[in-house]
Amino acid sequence: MWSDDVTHLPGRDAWDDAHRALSDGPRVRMVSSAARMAGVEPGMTLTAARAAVEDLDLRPWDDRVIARAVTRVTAQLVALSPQVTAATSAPGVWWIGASGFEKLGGERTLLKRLLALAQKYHPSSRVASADTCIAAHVATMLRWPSGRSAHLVPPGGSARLLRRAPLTLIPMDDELRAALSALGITTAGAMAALPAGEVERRWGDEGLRAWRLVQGQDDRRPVLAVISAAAAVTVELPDPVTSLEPVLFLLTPALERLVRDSARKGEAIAAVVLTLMLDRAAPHELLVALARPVARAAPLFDQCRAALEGCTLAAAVRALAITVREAVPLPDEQGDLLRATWRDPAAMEGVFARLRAGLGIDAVVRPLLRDRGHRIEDRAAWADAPADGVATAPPATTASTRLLTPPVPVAVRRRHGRPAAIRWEGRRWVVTHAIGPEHLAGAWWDQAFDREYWHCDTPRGSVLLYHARGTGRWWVEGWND
Amino acid sequence: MSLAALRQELAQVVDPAGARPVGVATGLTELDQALGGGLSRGQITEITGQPGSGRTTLLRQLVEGAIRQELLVAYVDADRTLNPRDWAHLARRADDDGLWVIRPPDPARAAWCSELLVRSGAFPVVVLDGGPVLPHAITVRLASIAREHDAVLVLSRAMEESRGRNVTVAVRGRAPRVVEVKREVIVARRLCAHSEVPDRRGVERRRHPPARQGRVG
Repeated sequence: MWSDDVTHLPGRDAWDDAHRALSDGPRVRMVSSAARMAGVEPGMTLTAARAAVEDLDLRPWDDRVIARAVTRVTAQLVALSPQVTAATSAPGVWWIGASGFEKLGGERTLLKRLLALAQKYHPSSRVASADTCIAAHVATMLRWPSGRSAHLVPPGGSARLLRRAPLTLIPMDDELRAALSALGITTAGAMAALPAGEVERRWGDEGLRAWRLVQGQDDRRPVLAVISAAAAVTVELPDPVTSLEPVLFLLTPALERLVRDSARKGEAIAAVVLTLMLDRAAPHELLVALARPVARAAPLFDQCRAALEGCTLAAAVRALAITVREAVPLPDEQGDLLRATWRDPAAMEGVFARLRAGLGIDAVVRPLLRDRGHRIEDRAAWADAPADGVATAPPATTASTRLLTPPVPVAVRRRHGRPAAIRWEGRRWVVTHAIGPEHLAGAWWDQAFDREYWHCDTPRGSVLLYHARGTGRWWVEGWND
Repeated sequence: MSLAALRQELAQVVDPAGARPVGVATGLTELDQALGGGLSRGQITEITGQPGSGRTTLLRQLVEGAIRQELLVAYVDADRTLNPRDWAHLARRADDDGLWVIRPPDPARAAWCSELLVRSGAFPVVVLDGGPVLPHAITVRLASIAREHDAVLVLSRAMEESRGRNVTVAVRGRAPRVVEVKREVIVARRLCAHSEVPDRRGVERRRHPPARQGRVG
């Protein structure tokens, strides 16, 4: 098992032999024992970590993935003991109640079953049972001469076990640990030998708490497991309906309630399932997954509405159920209300979801440069993608062009080889001034083009006109405005 | 942060009773002065002009100015005729920055798009460019939503009827204003200086020198 607060075990662990680490943003969050020995520490930047270990297997920390995995394992552990508490600060560690198993084979049988289950997820899992949580924790971290991965500390044996444990295995303040180390106290037994009064005088309540732990006095106990049912709200309509408005009317308060309940638990909603119960037909389910978890009803409503507007139903709707499929801890990101330009990104995503649902996925776009050819229409495009560079701004006073996609065929009358009049949309445009021709040709390997461009000034504005030399036709591609 | 400093920051954000809202600069000093400080928040501004009058260029300058002020801009291109090359410098890498363009397949849905964008509260500047003439009821509704969310809402349309070659900027609301902007103020040269089709008008430049100083309003 990886650990970010315990030094490596005496002797190498086969699973931790690989150089592995989990990153959280730009820094390392957790490291394997081998990586730590090679010089990678939690809190390092990724660059420094890779410089320390070239073949470091770096993967991103994902709260959602870890939370899902912890929940899955917890659910299975509950089948073996009703008292299961996942350690929140150390994913991969569980406290399990081992009392009351006398008629079920006793503690040894429980340990065997727990170990078998744990080793399905990690081959180097360890299980230990003791009178106190601190003794059980230390027993899992020590390497035993027998080499076994399960250990039972006999009743009353916690203090004796703790005597030889290194102080790094005892949870305490870093300052306190450093102070004890400076005094040459590096084992729990050495600290247990100090007088309690002296410990309290020097280091106060924190010192006394740590002193009690090394004595084997630990009041902590696992709690009864509470598997919280997925948050859900079901609303019934008075009569089956075939339009969306009544459903949306009920959706708002239902979402507000779910968001409120999630926020109370310190969670933001990342995905919901909308189940439409239909009249004499199978229920219709819609999954709404948000790119950014939200703790407000408004952007969640926009996304749900977009999903509902896009579905076609086989029958009238008689009830609606909304279930929270995925919730994550509330993010640390906060808006700055004192910055007048700050806007809620979740609101933007919500409105984009509705626009895409109503207009098509290509309706929300950005102008991006593309170098796909020499034709004017190939130089840039509308796409839903972030800019991959910075385009040069045209001079402020240079006219913007309006483009017709596709270009419009027109009839042109020429004089002395230059356009003199354009017949476009049933109107005659007299060309007062024409600049050109400018020749553009290419793409002979694909869709060949050969064009002569003219800038034509007319009483109605300037027009971008081209003559396709292959076909002999004239086209208006745009105008300047 | 001291209490006095916090009060000062809050005073800049919370609009005290009777204070004029800060406008969004258009990029043209004379126009900003004529409008009393730029485009007003919470009001509709109509920008109209004949094709070729410089209306699109003015809109581009306006959007550039808003983005320089770190304002997110949503542009509804109802007629789907904007040239992306002229606007690519306004796209940013981050999702919550710069310009977003909505191109509805049906121009009649442009007003619905604008309403959603303003109502979301995510866009302090929304431009509705093109599309059919809006009924009075829809314009009143959009004005109400813009006021509620303190957004700048610009409605722009090409006018086919001959009303002169200038762009008209009309502000509706509590302090209505109408400003005529000459084309020469917006666009330095009449003909396009498109980089793909090089402009070789050395002679024309001398014949038609750029006139930046036009009367505004």
